[in-house]
Amino acid sequence: MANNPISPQSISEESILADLTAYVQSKPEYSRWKDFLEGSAGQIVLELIAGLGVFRAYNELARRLESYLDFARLQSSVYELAFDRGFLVPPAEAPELLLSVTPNSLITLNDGDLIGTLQDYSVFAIGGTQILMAGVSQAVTCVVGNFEDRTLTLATNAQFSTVEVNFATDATPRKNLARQLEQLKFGSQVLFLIDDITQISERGAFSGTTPIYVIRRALPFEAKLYIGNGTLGWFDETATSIEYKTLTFNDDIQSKLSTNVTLNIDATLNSQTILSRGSILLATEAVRGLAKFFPIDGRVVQDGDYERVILKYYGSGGLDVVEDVFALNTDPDEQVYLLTAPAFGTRDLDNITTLINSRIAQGIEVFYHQVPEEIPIIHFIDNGIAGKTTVRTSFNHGLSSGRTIVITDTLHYDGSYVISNASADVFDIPINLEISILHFATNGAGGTTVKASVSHGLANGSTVQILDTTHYNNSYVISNVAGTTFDIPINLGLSIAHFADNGGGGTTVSFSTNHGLITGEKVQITGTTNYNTVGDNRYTIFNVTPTTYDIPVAFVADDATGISLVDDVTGTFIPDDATGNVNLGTIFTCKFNAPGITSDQITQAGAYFSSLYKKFFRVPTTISTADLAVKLSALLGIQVFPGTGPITHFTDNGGGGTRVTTSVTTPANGSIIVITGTTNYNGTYTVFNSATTTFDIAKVFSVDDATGNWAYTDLILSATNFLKLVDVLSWSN
Amino acid sequence: MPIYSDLDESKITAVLLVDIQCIYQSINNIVNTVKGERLFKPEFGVDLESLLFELINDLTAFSIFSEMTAGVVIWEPRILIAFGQSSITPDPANFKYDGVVAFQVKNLTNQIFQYIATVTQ
Repeated sequence: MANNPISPQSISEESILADLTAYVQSKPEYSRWKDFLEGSAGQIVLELIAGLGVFRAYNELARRLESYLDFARLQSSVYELAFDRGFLVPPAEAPELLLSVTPNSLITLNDGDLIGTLQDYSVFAIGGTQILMAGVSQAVTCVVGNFEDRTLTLATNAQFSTVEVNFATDATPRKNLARQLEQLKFGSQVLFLIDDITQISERGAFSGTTPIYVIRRALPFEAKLYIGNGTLGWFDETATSIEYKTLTFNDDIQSKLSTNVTLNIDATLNSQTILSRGSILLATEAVRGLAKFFPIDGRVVQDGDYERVILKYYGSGGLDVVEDVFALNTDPDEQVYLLTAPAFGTRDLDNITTLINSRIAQGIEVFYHQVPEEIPIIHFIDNGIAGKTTVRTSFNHGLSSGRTIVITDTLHYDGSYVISNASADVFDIPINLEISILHFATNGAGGTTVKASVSHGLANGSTVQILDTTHYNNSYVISNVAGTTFDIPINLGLSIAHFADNGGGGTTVSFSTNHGLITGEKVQITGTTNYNTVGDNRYTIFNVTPTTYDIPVAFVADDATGISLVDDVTGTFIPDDATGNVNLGTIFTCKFNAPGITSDQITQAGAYFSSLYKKFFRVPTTISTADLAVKLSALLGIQVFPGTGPITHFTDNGGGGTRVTTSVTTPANGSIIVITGTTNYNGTYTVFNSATTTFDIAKVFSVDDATGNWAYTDLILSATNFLKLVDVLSWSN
Repeated sequence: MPIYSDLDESKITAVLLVDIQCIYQSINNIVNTVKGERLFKPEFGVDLESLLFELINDLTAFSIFSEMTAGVVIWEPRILIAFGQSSITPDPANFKYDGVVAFQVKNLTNQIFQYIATVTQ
């Protein structure tokens, strides 16, 4: 209280005053005043402070409101918030005039040629090259404004430079920057400026296969240029300057449009018509409304994101998928497989989505597929950490600790795990199938039998990793599997040369070579007449020399033969399936069957495409295709065909094909399905003659297998109105 | 211990006024505050300004007296006004009114105090 007389929750005059009053009253009576009536001087002081507090609180609340698109009042706030969401405000348009002129001589006009003045503005030709015949009245389209340019020297050839071209301080009133005749030169290279990603293909010039353009962010009286050096964000590495040239105009231009143009060319002005009064930037409310269609993963987009998200990728090293997407231009039926590199993150998916969206905007049908994202496993290794096993993949997996993965195609480790200690080609999973070893014994066939403490459930041919032993640590492919035992292909047995009385009641065992054992180790002896160990009994050796050791059994005779096998009588093993896959989920997208959607509709939807980022779903493999279809149907509000269905009958369709009867909604005509579980009809087919309960396939009828299943190769959206997909903003795994 | 205490607004440093001194300061604040002047308390004070430009006569004097005593009664509940000993006298020659508000302070003493006000444009 003493340090914070005013509670942070107090924002009204009453509450702040109450806090202050309580604060004063908390002081010792001799050191404070006691009158708190409105007329008292102390109360006046408190009320004054409370008033200042209210103003301060109001200011903070106002600032807070300015940070939300729905509540911001300042134009600058709305523009910034819209940009943060990914909405690029279209630039202003300068007024355009249609002049009727009669040249006195032959005149050739090109875009940007000065043809006259309109009070303190210049008039420039637009509309392409035009040849004006002498003595003939002809129409010339022109734009009104004043050219200004800025040349910015680059300190370095920094990658991903962001350039702000600001005309704000040049004049009063401040100037609008027009789109017409706008030009950006990077060194000697003229670059296209675009303000919407959907314009990539419309306006992008190509250097080889590399699109060249720059994203322009229009603000009142200011343009920001986003230039990267990725494949798309190409720029001339040798350039040291940027020149930005644009038409500018003030709001007062409207009052001057009705006055006549004074021609600078050798011609007579017959008449002039206002083609367009131009426009300034979109109004605040328009920007506010449009920006709502541009959320990106619910996070704020920074300037730097534009350089990366929009400009950097597109076919840069390793992302071959983008090249495939480009190939849609030449083969609209090509299936685009979104192959993912290990380092392929969400950000990159967004890039691809953006690009695909741009293709949709051109009316190109895009096929989306599910592609499992898998990394092969080569080993499961005991890492000595309780409850964990290390998984080694066949290449650097690029995964991070904490990520959930699914392991498939293994004998023992299939399941979902949250990984830890991820680095390079290894990571740990929270499982340890370690089993204790009781004994090692000769199997009588040149190998060693391992006896486990419990039934191990392994199969012949499995790989195990043996640990915590003195002599047997290694990975082995096992054989002769029984309940608690299996054999490993190693033989540490040594042939015994002689047995002799050690003079102390025991027997000395001697070898022709060094046996490598030490006192206290245990051995199994087999193949002798008098000294064989029985069952799991083992001799503990003592009096060890390099070639002999003693065993605690009375000497009987020198059998002069036999095998000594060291038994560590301890150790563990884990199954190393040495195969399997790390399944990272499935990249699922949609296949558009878009009958009824016109290219105009698609184009109109272009402004919304950036909001479709969530069209990419990473679906856990634990979700079946059928479940996914149901879920998508609910989410999208449009039908998603069921992924699969049972087959009850096959009959002759009377036309050389086979009619399939199913108990669920039939697949649509033209769908590609896979039939499984039959004797005669397994395979991939294109559906035709789809009816309520039957559909036909191009397969000669033989017999009615009366069983089986059909399944789509993809989920198919019946996109009678695919704009509804705009609403799909919230589903992720 | 004083019953009432308040900051002395005539001093820069924190000095406390006590009892009747506080009452005088409070009445002074009330009659010198125009309604609407006080932040968040627009009804605090007395509205004399509009009356000061009326004809200086008994009727206006009565209105001023009523406004002033009403304000004091409302905003200074610690006093009882002795209306019989209070008065206001117009002084047209000097363009002012001479007012006396006599009052008794509750819980303090039975003594009658006088707040003397010269109301002028």
